[in-house]
Amino acid sequence: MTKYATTLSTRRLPGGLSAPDGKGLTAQVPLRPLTPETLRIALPTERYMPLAAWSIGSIIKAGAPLFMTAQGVIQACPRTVQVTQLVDGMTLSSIPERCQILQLTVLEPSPPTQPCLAPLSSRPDPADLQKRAAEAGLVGLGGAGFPAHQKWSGELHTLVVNGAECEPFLTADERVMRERAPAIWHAIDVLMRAYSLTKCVIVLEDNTPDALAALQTTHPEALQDRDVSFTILESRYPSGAERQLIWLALGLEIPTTARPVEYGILVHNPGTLAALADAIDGYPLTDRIVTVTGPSIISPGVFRAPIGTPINALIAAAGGLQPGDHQVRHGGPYMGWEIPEEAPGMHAMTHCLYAAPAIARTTSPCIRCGLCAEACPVQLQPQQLFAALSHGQLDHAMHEGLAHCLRCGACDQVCPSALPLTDQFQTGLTRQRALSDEAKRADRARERFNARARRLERQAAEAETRRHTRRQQSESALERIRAARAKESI
Amino acid sequence: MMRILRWGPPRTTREIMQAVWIALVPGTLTSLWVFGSGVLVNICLTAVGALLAEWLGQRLRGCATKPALQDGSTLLTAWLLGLALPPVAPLWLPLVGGMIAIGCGKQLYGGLGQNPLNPAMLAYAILLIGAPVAMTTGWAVPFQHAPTVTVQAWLHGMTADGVTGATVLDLYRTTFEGLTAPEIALHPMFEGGGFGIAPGVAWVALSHVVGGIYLLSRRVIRWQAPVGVLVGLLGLAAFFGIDPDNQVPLLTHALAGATIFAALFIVTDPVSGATSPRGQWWFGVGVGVITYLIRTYGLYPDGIAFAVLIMNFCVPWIDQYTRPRIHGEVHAIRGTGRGRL
Repeated sequence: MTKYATTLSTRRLPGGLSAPDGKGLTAQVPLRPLTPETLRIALPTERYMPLAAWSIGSIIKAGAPLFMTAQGVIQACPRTVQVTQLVDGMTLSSIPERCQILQLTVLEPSPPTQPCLAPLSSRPDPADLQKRAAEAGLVGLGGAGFPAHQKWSGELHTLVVNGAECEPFLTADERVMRERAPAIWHAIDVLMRAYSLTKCVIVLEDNTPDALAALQTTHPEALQDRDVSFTILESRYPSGAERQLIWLALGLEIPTTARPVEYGILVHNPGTLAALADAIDGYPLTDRIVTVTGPSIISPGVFRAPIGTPINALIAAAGGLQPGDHQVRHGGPYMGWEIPEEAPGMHAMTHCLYAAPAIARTTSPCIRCGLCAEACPVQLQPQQLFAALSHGQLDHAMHEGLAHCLRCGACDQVCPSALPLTDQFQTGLTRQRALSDEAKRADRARERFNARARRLERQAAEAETRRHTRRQQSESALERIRAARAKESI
Repeated sequence: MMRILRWGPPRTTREIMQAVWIALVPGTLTSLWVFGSGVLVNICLTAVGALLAEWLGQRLRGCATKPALQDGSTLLTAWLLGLALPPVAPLWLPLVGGMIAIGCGKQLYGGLGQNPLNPAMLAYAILLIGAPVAMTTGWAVPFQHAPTVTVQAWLHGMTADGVTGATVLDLYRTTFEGLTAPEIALHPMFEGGGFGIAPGVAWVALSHVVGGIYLLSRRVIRWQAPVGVLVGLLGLAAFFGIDPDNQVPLLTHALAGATIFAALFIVTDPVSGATSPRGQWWFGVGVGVITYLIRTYGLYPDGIAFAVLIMNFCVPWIDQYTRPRIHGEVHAIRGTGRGRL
């Protein structure tokens, strides 16, 4: 049955964790569709263009465009809803920002049943595909949320499907591969033909045999003459991080400063590919698969839920929290972050909600044991970075390679002093970004000032020249008059 | 107790310290067998001095005393120093040593994790300079101890003849001057050994190896630093020690003095040592080479304490030039990244 080469990757991630996986909690639970009574959709913090009337009381149809982001991605309304109110809140990102939240009352629980956009042909050309991805709201569903259509540019040659869901407890991508294998194949076929890709590598971890089986049994005839292969990785965190994955699968190191597409490599999450197949059929991105899990969740489960589903509704659907003090995180146990109080509902990148008992960590001083450096997948030395940052030496930390940090949290897991290493690195990077923005602003201001000084100087010089010529003209005119008078007097 | 005996890499700072305690047990027991109860007295007294200094230091710096006393690091420093001091030393020596180690070596710089120098070796070096007689004549002759004699020696604050004597490395600088190798081998210190092995100290060194293997297998220490010390020291010893009449032989370098003990328990101190595996290798090699130079040309019979301190000073520099290559970068970042040759 297997027509594609399936190889085990012989490369090994430097560092990383062989973590207890916790995926068993939700791996075999049936997928349940979930439609909440209300939706809370965060509006972009950057500039955006509203595409629907959201005055209070107005009704928006399922699949109708809501707004367009600054990158040109159109977010569709997930259900037929009535606008309740517009409130202030915080975004659901690792560094929460103030944002506005659109509160909607769901009128019809079903997602769009008819195509909202004209279905594309089965061989769409690149321009159509790009346009469709933008108008269907396609963003990277793996967590970064990068607009999909912006990746499809330049000289592309390889498609890597990132099915390595390395973080413990996460089962959303695996579930997508099991449930939507034909759609994923369709998207692979379309992308390979549209961009003339020569190679496709589907990367999975060795702990997801069901996903591998689902993909292998549904491979389409259309792709049989193409170079499509499977690469199986040893299950190790964080092998699913984009650059780590490319290295493990292809043996190519992508510099931190470059994006994989600059090297002709297109990396997509299986969820994004399934959503692309829907978009080609005319359905915008309205729902996604999300795992609600963790030791504090009473009955962990996997749900297909619309974008904007309130966090509470997701947790309630999974039986709620155990009694006691718990911390709910957006994302998994390592890369996730605590959900702020005034958070909106889930967004397209919400692959997991993880809840665990809140434990206060008592920290002790760093003794430079180096366990963090052994765990670091990019071979940084977190102990040195931490020392530099705790002494306020941001420059030194940048020199030691802070910008390369994935913020995967592997160092936090092994630190015997229980230091908040990743938090410190995140803070340092945020500060560095603010500083460089400020420096850029200062540069621009200086440039403006210099331009103004130059302009004033030039204007003064021009005025001087004009004065000079005028004086010369008037003097020569005077000269002529005097000469004329002298002639008259003679 | 079960928690102390768990396997796998340690999960807390306290577990790291406790793992090193466990690793010190075989060497300590063998030392007791070879040198007598003075070893235990030393450890207890350095512990008293060290804990006192830790408590005082934390109080003076306005930090909590309880967690600092409980993290196990103070006791570990005391234990290491206690093993390094001469077993029949006057009672004040270990007490003062413990205070210097923690007071000057650790609290002065801001407590755990902040010290640039190895506290035990700093105390050892200060005592060696400040109290040379007590530090060099208090060595028990292996297997010739009687508990009562040892007690008498403490009471008088001096050493008793026949019980104490010089160390093997000491003998090479004093008594063995002008003797040939076969004559040296007749000395009672080498009785039952051969090839320059003094059985008493060799047994202690080999028991420390047992502890070292335990630490390596639990990933508390890495192999780079200890192997670096042995390569640095024994490489030079093998190269220059061809003439056993005039040079200390290879196996004496390896098994006498503090070589094995320091390679496994002192040079592997993470706080004052280099931090990357490659850095630890060069740190170890440096300690080994400097130890050889001091033992051969220096003023002191065993130079490990000074070698460790000198290399401690070099750590920031070593760390800058031994960073691992970051994934996605072509080269490792060396130095400040701005310098040019």
